[in-house]
Amino acid sequence: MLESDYHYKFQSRTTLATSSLTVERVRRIVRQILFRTRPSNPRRSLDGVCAESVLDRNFRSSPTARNGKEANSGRMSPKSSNQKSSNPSLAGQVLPDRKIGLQQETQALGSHFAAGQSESADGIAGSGKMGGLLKLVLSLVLLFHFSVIGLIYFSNNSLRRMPWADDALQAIQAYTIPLGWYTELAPMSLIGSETYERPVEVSIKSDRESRVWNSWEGSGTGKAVGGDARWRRLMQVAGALAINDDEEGIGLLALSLVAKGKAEGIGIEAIRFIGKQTTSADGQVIEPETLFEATVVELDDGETTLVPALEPTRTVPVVGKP
Amino acid sequence: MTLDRSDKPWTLEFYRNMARAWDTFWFSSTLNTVNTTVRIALGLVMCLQFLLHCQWVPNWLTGNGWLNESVGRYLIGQGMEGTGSEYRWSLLYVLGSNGVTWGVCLAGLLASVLMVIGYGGRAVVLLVWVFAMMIHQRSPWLTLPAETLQIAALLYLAIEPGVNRFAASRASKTGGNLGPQEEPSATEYGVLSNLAMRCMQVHWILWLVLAATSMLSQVAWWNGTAAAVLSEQGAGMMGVLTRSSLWGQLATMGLLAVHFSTAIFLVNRRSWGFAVISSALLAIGLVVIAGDWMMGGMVIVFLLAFQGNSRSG
Repeated sequence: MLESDYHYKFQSRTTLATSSLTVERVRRIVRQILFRTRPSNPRRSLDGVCAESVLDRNFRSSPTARNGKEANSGRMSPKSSNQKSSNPSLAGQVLPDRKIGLQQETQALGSHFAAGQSESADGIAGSGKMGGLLKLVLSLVLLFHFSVIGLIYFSNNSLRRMPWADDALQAIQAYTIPLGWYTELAPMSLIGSETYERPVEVSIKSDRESRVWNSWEGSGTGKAVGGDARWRRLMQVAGALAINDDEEGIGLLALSLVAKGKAEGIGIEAIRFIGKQTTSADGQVIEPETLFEATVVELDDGETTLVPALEPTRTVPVVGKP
Repeated sequence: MTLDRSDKPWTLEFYRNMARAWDTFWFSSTLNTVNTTVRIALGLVMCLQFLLHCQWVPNWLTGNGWLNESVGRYLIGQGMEGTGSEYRWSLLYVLGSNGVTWGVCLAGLLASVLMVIGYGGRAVVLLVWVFAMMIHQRSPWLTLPAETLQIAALLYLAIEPGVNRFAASRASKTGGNLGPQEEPSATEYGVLSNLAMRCMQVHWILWLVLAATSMLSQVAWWNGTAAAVLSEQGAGMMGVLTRSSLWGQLATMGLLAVHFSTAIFLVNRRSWGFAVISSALLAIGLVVIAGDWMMGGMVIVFLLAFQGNSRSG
């Protein structure tokens, strides 16, 4: 029996059913038959392969079909079915000359049903019914999208940023940033050393005259629930701002921390960021260094400002002793 | 997706088959049961994520938070050309009060619960995405890797979020209708189901491969000290490891290896079993070594998106 005959049979059955019952009722009955008679292989029922008709499988398994490369034409595409059925001589060759049982027949009907169902399910769904132009547009969109994602992730891990990649990423910011694709700021590597490698500590003085600095590990950051990871990220940002001599940036960050301390009842008179002692990859001990230090000053209008400490190199040289 | 190996790249047939393979890969119809499973898993992860957000967002992103609005705006480069700060949208820039931050977190949590149930379909998935994005856009520098993957997965899932299993089972209990196994609802087959899962799959493979190569660009992953470095930072559950410790070196190399092996096994539908084992090892590694529970959860979510592949194999 030709596959086109199945088309005809299915269509004629549906037409007949419409006269006495609703199409939906017929579909339900057919569906019942299908789901009862289908081989009990859940793998096939879940991914759409169930819709692959026996005819399609026979077609694919035949040498003629393989030579004709029709085997790759998709699982349940009505379009591909139509293409095959439009060539009766070919279909006649590939179908085995044997009687197809009821089970196979219902499965064959199932492929048409499922295809039809997919068409009705989503406006554009149904592989065969999805227009060629729409597929082309979607394909281009997919190519563009995943090229962008690949470029963003690749730019994250490249040791030296490529100027053309930076230009390209900047040109497509309107697409990447509002939709959250622009994840350049999130480290791809678990260590996340893209910004600043060393661990950074904040220490504060609550008395200006005191010589004692107390470590302030950001109490209340929700450490037990992931706040420690964000605190580390924040400290990395502080380290990056400091080593890039971005005094405005680290000053704003320090002011934000001072305001937070004030809200928590901690009177901060001076604040500093320290790059903690660490060991380099080749095993050398790197001594701690002060990245930023400032004194907190309350202005008359109630505002708070910071006066950065002078760097050691700026100290006035001793010119002579009395 | 199959290509005949006998095809030569200079033949027209080769390109025809490539086009067919592309067509089958992206535009074939599948049942959306996989989408439903992924939506439930991702919804659970988002519930946990918003619970965690409740712990830090009101503490950090308010006027008196660790990262107040002025620092937030400075860090995204507001007013500076080429930073794209004009595209960063978030209610938390405009209304940074304690109430608003709590509102965003709780609304996100509620939407995530609805997403697990399947109520509201695509709209609810997009709502979860909107609330997650508000937090991400307000503090992109503090965003953790798992959150960027959640945002991507939510958008992909919004293409086809699957069905409301609870409603389907309730309908079957009340009689009249057949159960979901016997009677798939009218929305179960579709190209969109396949498209959504394919997007998740491709994104995850890209992430895995490029995250692994990113690690290779750091000396710590080559000389085996990365696990020790992470332990020194206080991450993970292994305590502080010395850089020369054998366990630390093995853990470093193992974690790097499972990044690659997971990607390799996932793209080969015949190695589904290995892909599951490798993904499980990766998730465990991320939790134990890096202390990143949410990333471990996302590994499982993305693994579930590959179920359809395993079944057609």
